[in-house]
Amino acid sequence: MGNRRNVMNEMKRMEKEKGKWAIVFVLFFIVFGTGWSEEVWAQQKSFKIGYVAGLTGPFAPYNLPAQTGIKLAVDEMNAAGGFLGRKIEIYTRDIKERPDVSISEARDLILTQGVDVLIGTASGSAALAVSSVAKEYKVPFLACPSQTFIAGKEGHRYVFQIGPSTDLDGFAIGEYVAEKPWKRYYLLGTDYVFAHEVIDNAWKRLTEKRSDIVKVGEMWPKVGERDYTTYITATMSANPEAVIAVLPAAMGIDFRRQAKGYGFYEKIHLIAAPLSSADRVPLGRETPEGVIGQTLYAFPYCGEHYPLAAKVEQMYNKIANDYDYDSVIAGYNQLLFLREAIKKAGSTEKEKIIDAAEGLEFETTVGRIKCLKYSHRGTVPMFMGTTTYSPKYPFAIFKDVKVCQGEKFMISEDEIRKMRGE
Amino acid sequence: MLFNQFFSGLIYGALLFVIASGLVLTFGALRILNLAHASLYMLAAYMTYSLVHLFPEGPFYFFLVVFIASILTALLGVLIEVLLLRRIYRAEELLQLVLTFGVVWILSDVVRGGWGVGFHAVPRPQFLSGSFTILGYTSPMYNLLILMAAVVVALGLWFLLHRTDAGIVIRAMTDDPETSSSLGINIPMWRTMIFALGSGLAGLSGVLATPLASLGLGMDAKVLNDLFIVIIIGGMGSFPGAMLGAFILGQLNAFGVLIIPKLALIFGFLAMAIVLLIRPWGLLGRPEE
Repeated sequence: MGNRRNVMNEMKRMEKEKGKWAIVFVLFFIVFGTGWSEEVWAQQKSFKIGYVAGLTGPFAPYNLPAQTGIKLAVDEMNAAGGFLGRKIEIYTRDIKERPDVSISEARDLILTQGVDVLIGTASGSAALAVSSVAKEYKVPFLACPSQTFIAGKEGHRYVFQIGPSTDLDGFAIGEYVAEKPWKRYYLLGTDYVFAHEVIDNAWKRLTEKRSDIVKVGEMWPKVGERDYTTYITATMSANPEAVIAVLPAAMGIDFRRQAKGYGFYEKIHLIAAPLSSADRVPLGRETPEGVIGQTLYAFPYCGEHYPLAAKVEQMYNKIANDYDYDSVIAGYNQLLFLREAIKKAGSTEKEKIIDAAEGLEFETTVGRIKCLKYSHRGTVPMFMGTTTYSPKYPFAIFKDVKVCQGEKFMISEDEIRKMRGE
Repeated sequence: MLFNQFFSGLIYGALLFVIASGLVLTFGALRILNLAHASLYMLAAYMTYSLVHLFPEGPFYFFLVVFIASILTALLGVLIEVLLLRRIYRAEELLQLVLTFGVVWILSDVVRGGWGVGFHAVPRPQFLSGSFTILGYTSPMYNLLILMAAVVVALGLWFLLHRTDAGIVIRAMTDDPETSSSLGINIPMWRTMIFALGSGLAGLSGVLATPLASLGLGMDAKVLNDLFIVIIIGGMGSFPGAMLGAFILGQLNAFGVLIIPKLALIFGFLAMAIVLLIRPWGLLGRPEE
């Protein structure tokens, strides 16, 4: 009797084993036999965007509006069905614009959240750090709103810069002021990569176009400098006709308001970059009239000339009233780019998105732009104009706006190939 | 040109002295190196930004804002001293530094929560928005206010310390806290008042600085760097030393950017290093016994 029970138990055990293996086989067949590849899985789960940016610290005033622009676009696109039926989700990390934190957070987003795309960074060092992670894990990275030129020898297949960079910034300044009668120039820039690159490019283009230009001096105040008294007096002592000042954020604000008290603007023409909303609105009506400024979003010009810009302005005005559109549209444009690339690819697979993005032309909030095939840079415009006041707004706006756009204002694809050693 | 730079350096030095005087007071009398001093300066600047929108334009209202912001900062100093510092006077210095560093982060978050991360600017008061010219050099009228404030603070502190009973108590506490206590001086109360005064001076400097520079998170860090250079060069706990240190740093900045702009960043630190090597208690300080 005992033996018979043992035999019966053994047969039951063997049946269970067979059953288990049968289930495994069926599952294997379903997963691989029917061709249920990454693409099918990809269609089921949400499309994940990893947003890596300094949300605290000195770059926060640029990153927070960019984050808002991304969110506005995501909400709008999710309401229209997402990306090929995949709901778009954003995973945000505060990288404090530190390269070490950028690397660890970007890596974590890829490995633990499985993000499909990385977007973000305002500083060049953080952008390069995230770019290296993107290359390692083969995840597309859209650098925004960083303007440091990262397409050079550090550029690669997985990094995109659909926004202005320092060659556009500098060449636009050089081209614009070359048409002015001034000859004696003083160069003033915050002592970090962005300002050095912009001024170098501006000077290069200016001196290419005009042989009579003279540099009467240059200074590079340290990052975070708040007191420009000594710089202002030293600059004025050199007797320039014009000063090209690349002093971002609070540094530029402080310089421009402090210079007024020294009679600076009565004697010297100032060319200020950047001169975006974040650089003008805090000063209210203290920004002098007649300052030549550079911005990636000329207000109110862009809203009057680009329908998408007007739409985004209205969307943003519902949640804020600070006119800080520049970085908002920069963030919004990244999602426009992604949407069009995915539409063209007919897929949300990373490599297919990248292939479709190369050479893609699409409408943005600042007109039609093209993603250059090799360097992955967008031919966005940079706007040059002169400050003026209108009774409608409590801060300086732009008049006589010139749109600087196109490959004429960018380092060529061939030069970039040489930089990458190809 | 030389006079231009000299005067520019003088103005910056004057502002630094007003900021540093409060730190010198708290260190001299309480032996606390308050890392949050610059954060109080920052908070006062932000409070000024809000206060100016409550009042109309005019000299009276400007000075009213100066008064209110300074008093509010002094009251905050009372809170910090009573709730936090009082518990660590006998603790080792590292713990005191860590505590005041914690206050730095708290105040930074208060500013971020209250005013956001964007930049703000306080307009120069209309009655001080003009310029004046001296020896062919044009300077904003507001700079005269900074100079006057530095002179008033210097004279006021001298008078307080050397011509009043309160000053006798403060100097006694500075020289010998144990004996002062045994003589019946209410040390805890005086500590609170001294810390409040130091905080109020940080607040005053924050208000005065607002029309000069925009407000942004991190403005305290930059000032803290310069503050340490000033008090180390001049001597910790010495008001004349703070004045001298502020003057030296102001001139180093002014002429440094003219002579060797690329090295202007390090001139202050170089001067600090040299003083530490040859006279570690500062140019006008006293050696610790």
